[in-house]
Amino acid sequence: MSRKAADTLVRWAVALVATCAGACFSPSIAQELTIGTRSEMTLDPHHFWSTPNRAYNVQLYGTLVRLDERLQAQPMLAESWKLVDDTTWEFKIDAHARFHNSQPVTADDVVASFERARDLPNAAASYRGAIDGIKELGAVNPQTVRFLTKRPDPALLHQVAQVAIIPREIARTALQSDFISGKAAIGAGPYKFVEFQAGNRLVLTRNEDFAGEKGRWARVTFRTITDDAARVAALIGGDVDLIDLVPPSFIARLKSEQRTVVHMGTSDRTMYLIPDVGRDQSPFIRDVGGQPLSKNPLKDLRVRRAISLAIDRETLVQKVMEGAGQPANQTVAPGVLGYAEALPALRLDLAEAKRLLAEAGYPEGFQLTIHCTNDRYINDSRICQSIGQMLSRLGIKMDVQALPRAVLFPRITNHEGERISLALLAFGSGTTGDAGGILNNTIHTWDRQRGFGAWNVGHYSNPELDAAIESAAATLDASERGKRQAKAVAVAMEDLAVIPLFHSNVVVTSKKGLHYRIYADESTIADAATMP
Amino acid sequence: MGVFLLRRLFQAVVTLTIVSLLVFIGVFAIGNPIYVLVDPSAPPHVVEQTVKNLGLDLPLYQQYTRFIQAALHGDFGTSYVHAQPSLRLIAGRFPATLELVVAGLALAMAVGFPLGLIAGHWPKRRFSRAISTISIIGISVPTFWIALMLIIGFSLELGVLPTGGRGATRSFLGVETSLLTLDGLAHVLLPAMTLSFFPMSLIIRLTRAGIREHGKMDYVRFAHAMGLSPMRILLQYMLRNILIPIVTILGIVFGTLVAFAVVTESIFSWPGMGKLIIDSIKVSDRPVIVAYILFVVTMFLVINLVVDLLSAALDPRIRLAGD
Repeated sequence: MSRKAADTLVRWAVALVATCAGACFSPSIAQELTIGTRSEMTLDPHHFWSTPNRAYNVQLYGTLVRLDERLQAQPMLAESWKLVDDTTWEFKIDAHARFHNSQPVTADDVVASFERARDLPNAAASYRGAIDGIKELGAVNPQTVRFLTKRPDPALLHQVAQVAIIPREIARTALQSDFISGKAAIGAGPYKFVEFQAGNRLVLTRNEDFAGEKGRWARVTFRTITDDAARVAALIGGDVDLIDLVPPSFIARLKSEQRTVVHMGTSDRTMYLIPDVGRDQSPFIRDVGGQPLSKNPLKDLRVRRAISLAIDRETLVQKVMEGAGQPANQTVAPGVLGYAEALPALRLDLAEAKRLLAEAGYPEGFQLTIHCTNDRYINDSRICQSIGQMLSRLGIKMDVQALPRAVLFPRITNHEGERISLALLAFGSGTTGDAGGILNNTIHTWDRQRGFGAWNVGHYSNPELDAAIESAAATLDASERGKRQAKAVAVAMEDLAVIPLFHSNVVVTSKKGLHYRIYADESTIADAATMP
Repeated sequence: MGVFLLRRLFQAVVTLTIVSLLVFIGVFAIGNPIYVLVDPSAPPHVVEQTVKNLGLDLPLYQQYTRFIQAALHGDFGTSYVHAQPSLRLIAGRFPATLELVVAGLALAMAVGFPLGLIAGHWPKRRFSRAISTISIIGISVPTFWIALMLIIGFSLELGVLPTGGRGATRSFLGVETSLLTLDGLAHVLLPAMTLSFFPMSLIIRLTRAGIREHGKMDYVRFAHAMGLSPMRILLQYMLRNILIPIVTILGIVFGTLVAFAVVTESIFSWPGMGKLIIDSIKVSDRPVIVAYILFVVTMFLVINLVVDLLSAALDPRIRLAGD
């Protein structure tokens, strides 16, 4: 629907609100929480790997290890773990852990669950991608599971955190329909399955026998409301207590609304521009006359610096993202292990940018096409258009191409193909809990054999940096790894392998009277909502 | 009659084959769905393996042949997102959409018919002119705007009706329906009102036009001359003639509403087929898109057949091709 109609909706709603009474979160119904979410749960926990599903899985099924708000590993069904050697990990299962059918959680159940996650046929977003670092696993005794990794892998905990644990009989024999009917929706999490109406709602109830910290709410209902304005209307109308993934355009209104409270926090995701620096001739760059250029301007660090200096990150955050963001000087989010503290802020300096561009040999500028998605990140095509305008001020004739991700992503990730000259992308640190995911996937040279650089679509290649990244990736000690990653990040940013824009925010809104702890990977967790 | 039905069956098969081909080509052109579904951190070799497993790397004609072979066995593919056979998924959501459309059409008929009769019988009155104007508005105004205004008015301002979702259901003849519970009715009222505006306006205009047209005909004048009361003429003699074009239109409108209640379902988060197809298109869930289009085409073919049979029953002058 049009943005204007949606704005009008909220404007009218604001105008009609008088007090909080009646629509506030009241203690009389304190035990029940209704959440309006954008994504529905896939009840089969090993079929579709995505962040929303992981959030649902950890609440209903439980995992050996769970990720907290800062995406650090915490014990859940496993009470402890240790490194036997560089590539062998042992997890000790909590002796009190029980499934919802009172069966104890044993190592066999864990092994069966992981094997199912790895081998489930016809899974389009297979969990095999989530646990790729695991070579094999086995039960040492009923309480202990051993994991062997392909190489020393500090991110094993994050991989283990992706897989839901279900009873072994269900793992071996259940059909999809069993999960949807709820018959097989048995896990060991803090909440139990009650009811699922496809496309409408998922109802969970507190698991009183949960071994760890019990769930805060007696009953949680997840209502699926995919339309953003409808979700906001549901909150204002009092039909739900909390909504996630609030688009920035609603923030100002929701803040001024008496009945609601906006909760914001930094996410682990950073938006950035990726330039083609690998080729001598780039397909989407021409000179001012429209003729192909003899050499690729983006290979010159001065041109990349000029582009970075021409971008007004403050305006991007304040006007395009309506304040839901933070200007970035690197693609790792602050607070994440491997964040390079000493890097200076990236400022706006159009005069200096023009000077650099002229010095590099392009006083007249050139023609450049920027590619981005229009349906993947919040405001992605608007950000792209703003970047286009900002770079036009620099003297570069910009062409903005906003495409659906189903069309753009296969094109750019085909490393043998045309790819792009300049593109807008985002990446997060959620899968490793540190800068490793970003370094391995977006900065390291593309290496199909060894699985590096899948998203390094600009083909930036710095062999010394590659060695540093690989050494960091194999460092099991956290603080040493953080230091090495921070050094690598600093080198990559100084070389402008990618041009950072801003860190996104997670925006959640609730009724007045509720407090919500933001999770950096945008997980919607019922227990993160509390009454102060 | 037998020949007629056989011919229709043959035409149906041809139509479905052509449509399936068109849809396949169209869906192929949107792009590779894997990159929409797969988490960006998935290693490339896993992505490639998944592409192979799902047969997405095969050329178009091979994918199409595979699809046809499976379809002839009743297998229309498994949804990438929901892990269910796509036809079963759609059939599972169909009752909710049907419920909504039936409620909407019932409302449209209950309100539109009487209004249309009034407007047709007393065309010069101010009330009738008002009805005509409203019917024009009803046809022109976009659904989503009506939906939003209703939400603002009834849910946010008056707070008497919920903003969306489907209410509690009760089983009736083996099917779960929310029309039999108070909570269900509260939830279905606003979406049904939204859906009903367009057909209501159509019915008003058609009824009014029908009365105006038939009112001038000889049989009506003759009945007048014989001294029959206007009400009796209207209800006993004119109604049946007026109904024929309305029945035809309503059949098509019914099909359109079922297929395209998309906007209403999205805004009200009504868990029906329309919302399913929109969500599936957004994530490129190809099997569901293809199965949905074929389902809808089949539905239209059946509706057209029923409408033709009904028209023949109502109007003895109509002969079905093949009689």
